[in-house]
Amino acid sequence: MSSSSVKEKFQVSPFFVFFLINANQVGVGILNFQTNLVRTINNDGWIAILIAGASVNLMIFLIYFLFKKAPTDEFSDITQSVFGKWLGQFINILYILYFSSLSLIVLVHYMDVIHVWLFKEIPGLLFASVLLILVYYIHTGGFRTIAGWAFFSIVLTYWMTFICFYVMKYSHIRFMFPMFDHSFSQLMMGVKDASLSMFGFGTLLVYYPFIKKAQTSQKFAHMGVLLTTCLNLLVFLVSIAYYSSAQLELTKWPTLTLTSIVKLPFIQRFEFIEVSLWLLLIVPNIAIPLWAASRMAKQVFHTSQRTTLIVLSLLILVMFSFFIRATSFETFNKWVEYSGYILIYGLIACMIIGLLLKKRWVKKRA
Amino acid sequence: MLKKNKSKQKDPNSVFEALSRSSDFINELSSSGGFLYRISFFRPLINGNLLHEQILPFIQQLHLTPTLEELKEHIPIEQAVITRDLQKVEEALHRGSIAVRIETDWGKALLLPIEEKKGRQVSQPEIEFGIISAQEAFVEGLDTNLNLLRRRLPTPDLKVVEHTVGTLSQTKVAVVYIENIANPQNIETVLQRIQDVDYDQILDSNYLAQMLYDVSNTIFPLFLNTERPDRVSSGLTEGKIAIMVDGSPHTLLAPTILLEYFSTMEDYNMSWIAASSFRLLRIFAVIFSIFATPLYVAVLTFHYELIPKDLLETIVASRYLVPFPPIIEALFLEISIELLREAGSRLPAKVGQTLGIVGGIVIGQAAVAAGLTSNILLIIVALSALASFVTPIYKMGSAIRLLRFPFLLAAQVWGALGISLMGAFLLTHLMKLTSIGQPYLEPIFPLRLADLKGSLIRPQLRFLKKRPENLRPQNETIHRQKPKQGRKGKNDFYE
Repeated sequence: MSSSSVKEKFQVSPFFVFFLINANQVGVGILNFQTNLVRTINNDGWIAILIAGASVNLMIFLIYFLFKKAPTDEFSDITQSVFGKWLGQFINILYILYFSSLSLIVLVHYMDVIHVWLFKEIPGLLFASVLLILVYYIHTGGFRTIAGWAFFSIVLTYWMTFICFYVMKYSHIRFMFPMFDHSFSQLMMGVKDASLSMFGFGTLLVYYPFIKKAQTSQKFAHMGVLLTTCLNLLVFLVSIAYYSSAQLELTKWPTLTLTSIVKLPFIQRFEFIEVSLWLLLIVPNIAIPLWAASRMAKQVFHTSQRTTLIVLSLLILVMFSFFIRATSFETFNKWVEYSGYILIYGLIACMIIGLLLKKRWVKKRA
Repeated sequence: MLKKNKSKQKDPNSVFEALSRSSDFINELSSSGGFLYRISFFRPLINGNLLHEQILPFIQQLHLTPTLEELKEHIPIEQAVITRDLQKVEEALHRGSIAVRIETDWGKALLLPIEEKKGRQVSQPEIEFGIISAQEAFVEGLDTNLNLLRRRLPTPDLKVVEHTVGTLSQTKVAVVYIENIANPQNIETVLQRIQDVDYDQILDSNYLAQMLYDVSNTIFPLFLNTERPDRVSSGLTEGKIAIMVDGSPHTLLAPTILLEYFSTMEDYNMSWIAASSFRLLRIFAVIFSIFATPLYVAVLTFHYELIPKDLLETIVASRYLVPFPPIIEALFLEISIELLREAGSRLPAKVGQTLGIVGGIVIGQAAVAAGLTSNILLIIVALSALASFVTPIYKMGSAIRLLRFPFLLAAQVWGALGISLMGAFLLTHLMKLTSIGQPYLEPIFPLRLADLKGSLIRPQLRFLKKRPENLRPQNETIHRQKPKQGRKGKNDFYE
């Protein structure tokens, strides 16, 4: 792989990968990942988070390895060169659907949070449309604007981690025990749950060619994952110290409930501000996967990205109108999670093996 | 005086004949020492004294068959030109030259530039006033402005490229830069854009600026317009490019970044601690100015739980008589403040003061007493109006005042979430803006830590080692001062 297929003026500096990865991992997941984790393995969730973080780091390594070995840095071309034209295009379409559904899930989740915590009466479809218009507006600025969003979403919202330290004075260290009382298979179930909140790094596959000297950015990607892991760990530890485990299992959005305790001299009900400002974290979580999906669609269907973006946005809106206030969403969510394991974890490993075998085969024939 | 030749003979030259149709054009046929000559000029454009004292006596001295070359040698006026190019003659006449022709060859003309320049004297800056900085500002004349600038930068590297823009107005536009510092690509972009301007009349530099902007759909100024020569010269030494327009007291600087609009020249004349504090104060004031009223509307319309009980009591007490929802109240006050500002900027200074008192104090107090608005909102609106004036660049101030209104509407529709959403749109817009190709949000995005310290605060001068990176300067280092004599070693507490 010599030079990138994207012009340099559209590329971003390597260290933006740090923000891109992190912004894409921290989204609605961090508001409620504790509940599921505690339901499966109770207080040992932090071990699961660490293992999940390590597995994500491994995946980052594999993705960079894949691009290093691959003849091109466009992911949609790599799938075709590994699986052949037809199967490759089919897999590309799967990825497009997967990335779009990531955006959709974030949108539905956030809408849910708003309905419960902020406004019951806000028309969901209208809000989703406005948000998608914003995303369209962001996309018109190209990938640089998206990277900028990843950056700003972190800079403007990470100060809210002070909540974690604020609630420490209401927490009890004995809630965190007992530790280490779960079997290996339970732990693995926990890892599965913990890694859910770290999904989203898969879009790296698509924006890889948009990074200047992409191979040098690997360390930033690892750092981004490390930051997510630390953040999840912090939130989880604070949550299990703050709630008793029985309480935590029943709370739908523990992070928000935790915020309600914050009282400043001039502000009460801090979660109102948190939910509103959370928008800034949500925007890159919708924009980046949707951008990835529309860019892949552009290459697969040979049209302009404007067209694919509009089509995918409309698709998301239609799906959104089905899912809002519908229990089928949970099923859909599960499906997307499983396909995430297959598409990101499974398929990448397959592709690396395929790529290496193909190379060897070509060498042998020559 | 010139001898009036009543029986006007027809000029053999069609150009002069055509110009004579304008009654302020003088085309005199006279004779002296046995030969005929013509003097042609626009009466309002030339300096009559020069004509009478320096030119006519010399013509009178000549006799028999003189040539224009002879005349040119005798007359003590520099930049005299002899030409047959009629277009050139016409242009020169419009710029305040006189044309002298002799009967031997009416087609050939001697052009003597004796332009009369009338205009304002250099005076104090009124828009970007500074208390402890230089008290001179640009005026309308381009040459005066260039004089002010060149006196501050007496270096051979300071280059001026002049262009004429505007098909009717023929406005002189000067692009000024320092050759070894400014980025050649930026210079080329600016020159190219000026050349591409095809418009009949250029009235002002800010008028031209809109044609040179990267995008036209924005309320933010992308070029910094300043009337301070010191600001321009410091911009040039950083690697910026200045665009001066004849007839405009404002000079444009490009490329610029958002944070630059919050710095004044005074910042560099104060201790760095004070200057940095004031700069941060300005940035805070602008944020306050944009968000204060929308937050009031959002909180009182939707999220009154946000406010602690004691504070809520005060607020409720202040507005329990008000019959309107907060948005009407806020819009009423915001619009009346905008009215005051707009009227104040149109009125003569003395009337303006009176109006300020009537508008600000009487209307405000009366509105509260009549139960139209609450006291607290009055304070918030007045403070945020005040805060919007802290930016030294007027255009940025008006952009900030305008920004408040979409935020107000968003706050009314979706409360704090609406403000967040509008903020997201604003942020995206800012991220997409560029000033002659350089990102507007630098050094925050793209992040340049070295520049961040110089734009967010005003660090000690010795920490400003490099020119700002967003200008892509050729020569990065600013020369550092030598260590002071007699300064002791680091760990020495003077024994």
